[in-house]
Amino acid sequence: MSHLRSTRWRGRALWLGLGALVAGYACEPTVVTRAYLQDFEGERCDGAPCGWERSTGTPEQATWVETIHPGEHALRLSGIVSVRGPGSDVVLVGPDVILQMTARCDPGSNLAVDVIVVDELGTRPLRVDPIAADAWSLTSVTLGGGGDISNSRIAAIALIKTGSTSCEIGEIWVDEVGFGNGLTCS
Amino acid sequence: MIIAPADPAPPTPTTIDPNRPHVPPGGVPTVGLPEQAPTPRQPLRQEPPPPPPLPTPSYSVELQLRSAFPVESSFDQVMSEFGYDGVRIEPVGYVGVAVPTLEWLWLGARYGMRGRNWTHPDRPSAVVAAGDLLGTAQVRFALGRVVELGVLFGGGAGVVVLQLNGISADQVVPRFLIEGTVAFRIGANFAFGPRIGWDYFQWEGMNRYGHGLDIGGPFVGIGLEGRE
Repeated sequence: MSHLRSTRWRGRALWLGLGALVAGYACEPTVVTRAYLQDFEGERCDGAPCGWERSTGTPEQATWVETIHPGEHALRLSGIVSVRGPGSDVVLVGPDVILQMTARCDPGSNLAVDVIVVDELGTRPLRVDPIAADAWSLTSVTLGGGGDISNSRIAAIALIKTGSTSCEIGEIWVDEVGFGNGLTCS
Repeated sequence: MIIAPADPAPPTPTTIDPNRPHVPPGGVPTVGLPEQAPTPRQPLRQEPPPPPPLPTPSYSVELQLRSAFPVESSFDQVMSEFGYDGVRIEPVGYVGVAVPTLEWLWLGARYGMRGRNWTHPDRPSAVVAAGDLLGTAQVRFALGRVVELGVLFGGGAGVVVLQLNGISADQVVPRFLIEGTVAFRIGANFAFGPRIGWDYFQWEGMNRYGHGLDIGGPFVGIGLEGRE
């Protein structure tokens, strides 16, 4: 009798473990659409990536620099400066949209990103504050949420740099992501 | 008329020739075993003398194929932050020549190539390729006629070329090598066997952040030798 009960519990534990494994796999986001990509490797206009312009600061505060390799470049922002770059024609469906950024900041600097979206209601910025460490690191931030960016598109990206030292931004991209089988993942 | 056959004449006694088979009266020879001569005493059976050791070759040419497993370097980590995904297993090939200056000391040189890459979802793969030239000194001993054991030390220089986004950067770096050798001789002119060891093959300070790239590390492989 006790053997039967033990076997039954073992079977339940096996199914529970298998279910957790499937749910865990399903909660790994998969990229559905790449809505935006800026890697600062395209053509340059007057020494800076084309389409980017300063909103505040001097030309010396926003420069195009080589990073980990002569084939890898970034936008360096020094001191208090903000810049604005081109957007994308891809329409965001939502609700799961993430912004990822590879960047680094010297100690004493902070970086904020405004993803400026436009839809039938108008244009509005979605502010995110990615944590940029001293070393190059990849940061992921969920954009919007709650479906408020559905049927919008990215009109522009603005980078707002504060602090006296420098930040370098190597790549920014925005992905529409999906979770397998429509499961809700916490 | 019937003619009766004549009776055969009775045999006349003769002297017995000891070298002829005995013929009894009646003329029918007997079938018998020949007389055996007494066998001389056989000497005790001896083991065949061991074959002479194979001569030390005047030179050896080696082709070596390996898999190397570089350690994760700071450049691997930062490439991951930039969205690249790399597998730290490298195919490596060497061709070398060695001359036994003493029976147990083989001096030589070898040239090799290796490479690996990092894939990226939006860009062409980043590729690192390297070639190196090494001087080698090997202590090698024979265990019998078939098996040889050796320890090889090498030093020299390598050139590392790293291509990323279609732009290449290169650097000359120092090289060191230690390798254990097992060789199984096939006749006088060939040998093969496993190789295991560790390569120092690093590009330090490759950018202004001080990242380093390792393309050496532990390795296993097989060597094929032709000797003359």
